[in-house]
Amino acid sequence: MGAAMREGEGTNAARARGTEARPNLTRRRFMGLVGAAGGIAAGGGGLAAFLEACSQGATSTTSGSPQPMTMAVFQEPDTLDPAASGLITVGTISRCVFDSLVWSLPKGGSTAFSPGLATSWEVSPDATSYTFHLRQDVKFHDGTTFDANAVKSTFDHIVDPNTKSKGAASALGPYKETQVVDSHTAKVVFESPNAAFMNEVAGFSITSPAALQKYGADFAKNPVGTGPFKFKEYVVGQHVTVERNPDYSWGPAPIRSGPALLSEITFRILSDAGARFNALQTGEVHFAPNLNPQDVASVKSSSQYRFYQVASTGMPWNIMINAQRPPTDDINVRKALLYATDQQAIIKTLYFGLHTAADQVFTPITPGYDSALKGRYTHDAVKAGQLLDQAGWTKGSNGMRQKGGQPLKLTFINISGFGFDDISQLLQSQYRDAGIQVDISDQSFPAVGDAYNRGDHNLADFFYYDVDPYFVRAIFGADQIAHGFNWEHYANPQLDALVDRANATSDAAARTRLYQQANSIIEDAAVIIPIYNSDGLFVGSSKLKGVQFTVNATPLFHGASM
Amino acid sequence: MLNLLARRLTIAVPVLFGVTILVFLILHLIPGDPAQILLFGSRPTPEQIAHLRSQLGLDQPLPVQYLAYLARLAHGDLGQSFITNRPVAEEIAQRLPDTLELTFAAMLVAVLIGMPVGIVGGVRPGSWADRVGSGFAVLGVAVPYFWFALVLVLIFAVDLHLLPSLGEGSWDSLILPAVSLGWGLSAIIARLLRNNLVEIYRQPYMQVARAKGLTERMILYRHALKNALIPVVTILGLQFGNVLSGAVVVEVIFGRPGIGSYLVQAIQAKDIPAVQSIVLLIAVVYIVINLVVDLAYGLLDPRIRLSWVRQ
Repeated sequence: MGAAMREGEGTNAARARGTEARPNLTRRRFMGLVGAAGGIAAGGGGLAAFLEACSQGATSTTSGSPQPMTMAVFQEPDTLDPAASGLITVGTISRCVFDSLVWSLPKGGSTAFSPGLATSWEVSPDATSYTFHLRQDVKFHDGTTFDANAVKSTFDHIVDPNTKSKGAASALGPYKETQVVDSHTAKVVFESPNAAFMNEVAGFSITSPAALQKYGADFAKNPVGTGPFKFKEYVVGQHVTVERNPDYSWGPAPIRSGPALLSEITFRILSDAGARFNALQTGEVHFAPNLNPQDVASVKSSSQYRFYQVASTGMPWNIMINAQRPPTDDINVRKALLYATDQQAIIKTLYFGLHTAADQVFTPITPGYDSALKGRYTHDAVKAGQLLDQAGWTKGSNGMRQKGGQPLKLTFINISGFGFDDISQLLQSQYRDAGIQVDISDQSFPAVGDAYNRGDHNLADFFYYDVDPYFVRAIFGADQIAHGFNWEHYANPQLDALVDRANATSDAAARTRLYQQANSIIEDAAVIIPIYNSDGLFVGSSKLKGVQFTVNATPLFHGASM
Repeated sequence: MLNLLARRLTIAVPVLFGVTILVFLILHLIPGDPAQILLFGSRPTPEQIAHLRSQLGLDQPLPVQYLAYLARLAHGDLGQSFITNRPVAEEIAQRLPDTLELTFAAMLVAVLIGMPVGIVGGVRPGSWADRVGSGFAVLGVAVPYFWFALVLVLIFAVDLHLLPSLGEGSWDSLILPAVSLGWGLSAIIARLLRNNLVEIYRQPYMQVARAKGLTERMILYRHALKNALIPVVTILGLQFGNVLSGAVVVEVIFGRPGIGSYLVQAIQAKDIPAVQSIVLLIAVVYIVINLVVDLAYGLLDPRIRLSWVRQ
């Protein structure tokens, strides 16, 4: 689990065809949660919000001198340049060293924007340009002043081919340029509508132009930002350490605007989940992601530890159904599969109940989530049977279904070692109970992508995380079949038009409604089987208080204390 | 001696070439086009794929690619990491000292535990000390070191808080990793040494030594141990490679930096140049150690030295 992951910048189709679609689906986002939620993820916005409310209270009463803290991370950084990296671990470190123009934070089961380095912003109605009014009191760790040039330099650096961006460039979308309107006003302009940028902008780390110039390619080992912690050292194979920035006073108001309450954070690289748990128990680390579910279950209610269940935006862990390959080209068969799936059994058996069942293409805090769709395909063996009967697949004497002498047989191509091995086997037995034979073929990533693109499968593994629902364009777009990530091989021009319209709508409420419509179309088509929500899951020492999270479950230590 | 060295080298060199061929083929044994796999999900244009293919030399015939690979190896160029874009040689150089430290510490533990246990059992076979020692040896061989490592962490780090669970920095952080890695080998040494000693004490020349009036201590050190140690040295040498590869798992369990944990990471991230180089490195170490062991034989045993001359 928890491989170091490379990330791409989207899919072939868009660039090859020069379309305006910005399929920002990337390998990191697709794979990142293997690490982030890989073993486990649980909970919901409600509990996370409650925990955060508790920790908030604790923070405000904390006194005494700042203490150091150690967090276990599961990957070796590929680079410490946030524009170049494709790793979730580097994202966590970057949240300490850098600030973003705007913060997107969980709020009451949903998400809300807060001013960051920008005090206010305006979006053009067609979502092609964004004007940011910047703070004037911000200094980078190298002493230089933050201004509109830094914004321009950051975005230009992301799209620079020499940066070899593995994530940020695709998240940035059809970037055209940044105009420096005046020293503290920057206008980011796109080639085509890009409403997703409002959510994405919260993820971009603003980097020091002076440091970029000074270090060049060595910026990868010398990150300089404006964040609550300054980069101190990186010892390969061992740790990355950041230290408190005493001058910090521009943090996000809902968390903490002043200087950090920790003196130092050491990110200890521990690739083994067991080692992370041991070190947590001995007190050598105080906070750890991606532990084994049985370990989490064993300390979940202990007073020595604090258990964090953090809802994340994106697409749940799910099984994609190929809508073109028989027999799943029949919608009744696809619907029968949805009804035949017992998510609760999977969550209970494999994850000690630490996950929440997913019910649609979006996780609950993703814009476009529709609670009205909840429970639509709740496990119902009788309904599954009726649908299969309707489709002409009748039960034979051995309990397996057949039509015209042909058995009802599905090919499940599973990505081995990807977190779906056990799920595929449990599903195989659940579907057998419904009279469906499933052959599992384990293949390795990323070679499996070829098989998925050809459509050799009836069932495929998938999950994806992103802060904006526009990712559905890359996963369901008709132009993404055979080249991109449309592994359901599902083509619906009406859906594509709807999503494109949503991404050209800057009004958030109107946009969310459009995504809800898209969500409903996907639900009707029955091309994915949602399994569980890809929430972030962490265990920390009870001494560590005040840890908060972004909307995609990245921890924030602005207000954390020991 | 030089003669033998030359003869041993003529065997080692073809083995080395065989290893380089296998390592070279790793890139080509992965299903699919390596260039497309590397660029998967990165929205590559056909030109980008073609460029990467030519960069990797994939557009050349296989033998040409292999020769180019050898030429780079000869220059100490192990390629660039696909993940960090840093030279793999540099990445390995940064981590190798940690692995060597662990490996030697484990060998030291093995000798420090294995020798006394073996001697006690060998000198007094059937005594209670011998039985305890034999029991220990059976356990040591039977219990896998990764399980033993986990148990050690649970007892000494998690429960007793005597030692750190992570192997980094201070000297005491080396204890648990070295013991878990060295304990299996110490059992092998103990068993081997004990059986050798028992055998040697039955030899007529031991009676002669006693008849000469030598003390038991003299007999042990001068006559028994010297002969009994030859196979032990062999085993130590041969096991060096095993200990080195065992470090892969132990490093991960203790979160130690080193080429072992680097290999695991590289495999997970499909960082092919790194995987190739580490596999090559471990193979080279095996070959070199075997060579050294062969030569060490001669130094310890005059009969072997003589047989070289005769050949």
